[in-house]
Amino acid sequence: MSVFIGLLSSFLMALGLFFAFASVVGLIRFPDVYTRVHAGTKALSGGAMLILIGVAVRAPSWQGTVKSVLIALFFLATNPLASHAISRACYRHGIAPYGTVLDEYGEAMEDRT
Amino acid sequence: MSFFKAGALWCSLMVLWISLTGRLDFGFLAVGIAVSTAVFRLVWRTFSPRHEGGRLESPRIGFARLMAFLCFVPCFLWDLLKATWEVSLLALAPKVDLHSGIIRVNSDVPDKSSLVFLANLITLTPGTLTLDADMSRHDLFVHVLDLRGLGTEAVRSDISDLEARIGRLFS
Repeated sequence: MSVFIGLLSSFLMALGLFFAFASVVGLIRFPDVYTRVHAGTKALSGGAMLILIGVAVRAPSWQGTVKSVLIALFFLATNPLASHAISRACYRHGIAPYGTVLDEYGEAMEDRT
Repeated sequence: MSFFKAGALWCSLMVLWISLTGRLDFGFLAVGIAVSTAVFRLVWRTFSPRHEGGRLESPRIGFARLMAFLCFVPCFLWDLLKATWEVSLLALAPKVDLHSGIIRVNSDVPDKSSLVFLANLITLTPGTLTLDADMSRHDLFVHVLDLRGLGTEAVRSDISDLEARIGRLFS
């Protein structure tokens, strides 16, 4: 049983590590702020979730499990808010999205002013 | 605010305290009771129904909602994994070729709290990120990572699927 738990948590953590690595690569390679926020939000939150679940599976006491599940929940609740705040501030600051096909946000803002 | 809801709020604060401290001694529990009561006094207004702008009546907690929630969580985790996988593939692809765009999506969720919930979910599902929300018109501005691959209509129908799921959760 403990071998199984160890294998499961190692697998989850390795997968999370891969996603975290991919998100860093995305942060470097993506062309503009908005696409980089995509990498930083989604790939990173998936990676962190998997690592935290792996920790929760392996934790020696119930306190550790509960705490890492709580951290995962807070992560999920706050990460989209942070990405929204960053991308919105960048847009209002006048940083144009790179190579866009369609920009209905800009049109809506022009309509209002 | 009903007596039942107040009790539920206080008990969940207490559960949070116990899980954060991880101790069940008498001293720790006494401090927890004091802290929970203080926090409860500070935040209960936020949880009680408001009559200006917000929703008019608070949602009821029933068996159907519990089942909807239990079905919702695995769906959501699966979506999150899929989103992570797709962004990772795009990041590690030999050539970064993105055609991103911002589209405007009108949602007809009933109240502000489920609109915020919807915006958060859109951020965590594949290829999309909520840039801004127009609260008065219930419009969401969604940044799509690869618009050429997905297509505007596909994104819209994904979002209305999410909306239907949230509707089952909140209504």
